[in-house]
Amino acid sequence: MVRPLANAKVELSGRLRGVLSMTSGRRREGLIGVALIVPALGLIFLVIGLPVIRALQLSVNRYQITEGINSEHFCGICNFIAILDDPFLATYVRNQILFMVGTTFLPILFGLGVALLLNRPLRLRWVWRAVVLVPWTMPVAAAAVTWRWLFDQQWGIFNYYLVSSGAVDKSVGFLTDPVWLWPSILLVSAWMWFPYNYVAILAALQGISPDLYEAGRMDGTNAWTAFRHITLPAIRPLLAILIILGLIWASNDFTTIFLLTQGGPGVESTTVAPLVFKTLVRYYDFGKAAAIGVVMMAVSVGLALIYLRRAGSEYQ
Amino acid sequence: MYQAAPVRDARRIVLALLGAIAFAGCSAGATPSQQPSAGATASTASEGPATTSPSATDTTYEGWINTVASTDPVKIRIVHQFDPNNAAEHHQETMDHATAEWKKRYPNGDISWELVGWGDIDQKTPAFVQAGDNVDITYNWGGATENWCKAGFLVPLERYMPAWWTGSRVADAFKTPANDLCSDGTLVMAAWSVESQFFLLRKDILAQAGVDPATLSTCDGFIAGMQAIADKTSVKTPVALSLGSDWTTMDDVSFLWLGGGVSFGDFRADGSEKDAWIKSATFARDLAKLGPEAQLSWQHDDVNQAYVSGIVAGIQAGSWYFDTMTALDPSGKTFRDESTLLVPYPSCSSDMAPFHSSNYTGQYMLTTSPEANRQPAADLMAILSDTKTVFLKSDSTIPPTIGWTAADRLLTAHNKDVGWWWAQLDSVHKAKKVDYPGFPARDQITAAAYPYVIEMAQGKITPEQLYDKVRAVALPLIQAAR
Repeated sequence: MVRPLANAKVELSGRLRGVLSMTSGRRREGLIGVALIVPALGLIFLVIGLPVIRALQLSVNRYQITEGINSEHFCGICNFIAILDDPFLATYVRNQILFMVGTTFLPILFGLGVALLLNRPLRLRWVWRAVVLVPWTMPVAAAAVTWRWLFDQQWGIFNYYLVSSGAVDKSVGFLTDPVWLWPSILLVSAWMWFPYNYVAILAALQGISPDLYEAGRMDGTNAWTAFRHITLPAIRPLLAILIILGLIWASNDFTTIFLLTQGGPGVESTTVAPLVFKTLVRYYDFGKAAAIGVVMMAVSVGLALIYLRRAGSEYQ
Repeated sequence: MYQAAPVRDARRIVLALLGAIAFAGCSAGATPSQQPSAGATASTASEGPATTSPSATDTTYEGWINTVASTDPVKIRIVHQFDPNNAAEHHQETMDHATAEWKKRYPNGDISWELVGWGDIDQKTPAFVQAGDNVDITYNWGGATENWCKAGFLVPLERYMPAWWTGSRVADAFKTPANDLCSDGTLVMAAWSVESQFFLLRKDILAQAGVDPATLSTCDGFIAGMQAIADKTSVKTPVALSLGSDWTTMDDVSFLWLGGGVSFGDFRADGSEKDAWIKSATFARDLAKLGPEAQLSWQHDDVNQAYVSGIVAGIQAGSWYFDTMTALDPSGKTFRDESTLLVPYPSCSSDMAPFHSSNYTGQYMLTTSPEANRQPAADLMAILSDTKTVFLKSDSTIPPTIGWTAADRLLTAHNKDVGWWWAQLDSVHKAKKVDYPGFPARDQITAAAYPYVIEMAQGKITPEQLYDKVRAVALPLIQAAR
């Protein structure tokens, strides 16, 4: 009785040692892993975490630097109330939605069209595929300033040809006339962003098996039904991700609007990012600027969650 | 598992952010420990003892400059706008001369000259103060003074400035309102230059339209003259305003209010400013209405270009445009006597004469200046603001500083071929002078007013509605600021 027990003890003790040894190994491995990512996490905390915490703190404080460098004090939701009380809030929201939707969907539609075109057999196709990338290679600031000059009412080349050809009697205020303001801005953003969408969509198109189209042809599909029933379902997951990414990027875009119109005339094209800039560095209202930023961050986080859910689903 | 992980991580991030909000609420009111202590106004900013006290040698520049103040190895930092490549204004010579003069008083001292352009100074100065960056001297135009006073950025200067300087400069500066002073009268700026503001008009276009400049002395006469230009010439925007951004708009329109006898930010509890304010707003509206909406997107540079190229007949300008315009003209002589007329602002009120406005540009001492640096810094400011330095001749000789005429300035600092400019400027200066005052809560009022000013320019609201909307926002801000 004793021996088997003793044997069992020895066996148990060996297993325990094995388990303990394995646990210890994994723990060590885990600790090494943590140690390896700590510098990166620390850096991320320094450059992202701390500013975010400071922005959150500012958003619940009243801090207008023109009231004194030490005038910061807690005021709860006063800055958020100030945002709601802004007489131009509806204009800002309209502008933001217009810009986000336009800057997301127009480049995708344009990119899709160009990708479909350049996915077909064409002479010098490689040249055209390179040419359409040119807008993407230009710095956003340079592109925006160039477009501002093209649109200019006094010196712009568009107005020069429109007036000299007799198409219009007097030059058009592309960036000042309420009718033309948003179409002009969205044309610029579509021009700047479509190559990115084009590249992604073209890659997806090239991943679709030609056999599917061949089978479709045997079943009597035409160009439209093939696009609707074969192409679109195949690239739909990619389009969903492009839409979400586009919305996230557009929600934070500052350069395009600011360099084209500075948010004007008045506030007619002011979106959230230029509004934060003006509130912060022109009017020194740190609290309100932070509150606007927090609202913008909340929208971005919401979109990011949708993106993560979508990306996770695709990964699975 | 793979599906859930990113979402779960994101939820954790959101939870962390919510925790941070709670933390933010708990620690609200805390400010970075490195911020310098400063009161609500410059007059209550921390003041320390000067390292030197006034003495008999302070009463003349020569006596003062040739007295060693300290042999300590003091080092001061000055943020400046002097462009070493601007040969026309002798900026490099100015810096070299100021350094050499200052070293007579601080032979072991050192000056760190740090260039920050005009476009950045408004944003960088608060950053210096917030970060506790020990900048001693910065600069700006006087429109910034009141804001910086209220923010507690500035050190009062009187106690630091030498007797020769206060005797020759402060007497004029103290004629309030002057924008080298806080609204409570505290001197905070050592003025570098005085800039006059007025209208520039193209003589050639006025002649084409048959407009007699003498009729431009009232607001109604001015509008009628500009309307004649729009009707009789190809110029469709007679006077250009820079309505493309908030600050350029306020730069341009705020001077127009002075013609009605008020400033843009002049709102009183009893409403006594109403008629004059609306009259000025009407003048601004009528000017804006005269042209197509191009000016809604224009900045100062666009306006300059439009003027030089003859697309517009007139601009609201300051004397510093002299250099800008010279640079824009291929021949280097844009300001030809035969093409440009300097015109005082018209008056919108029967009891006012046509006028020009003026404001100072100069150096301020920041509260970030360490105590030991303040006297040496003030000495450098005094040297810089002395016209001996500002208008140093290109042959390095120094002209007399008292009793200067415009021609003296011209011969010293600029090409004598444009002597007519200074003569015209002198004639403008014979008109009534109205100081351009800063006003409390200027930036907040600008933020609130700008969209409405544009709506008025677009004809969406009337001057009366503009008054009501801006007053509703501005009056509480002004009362709070006071």
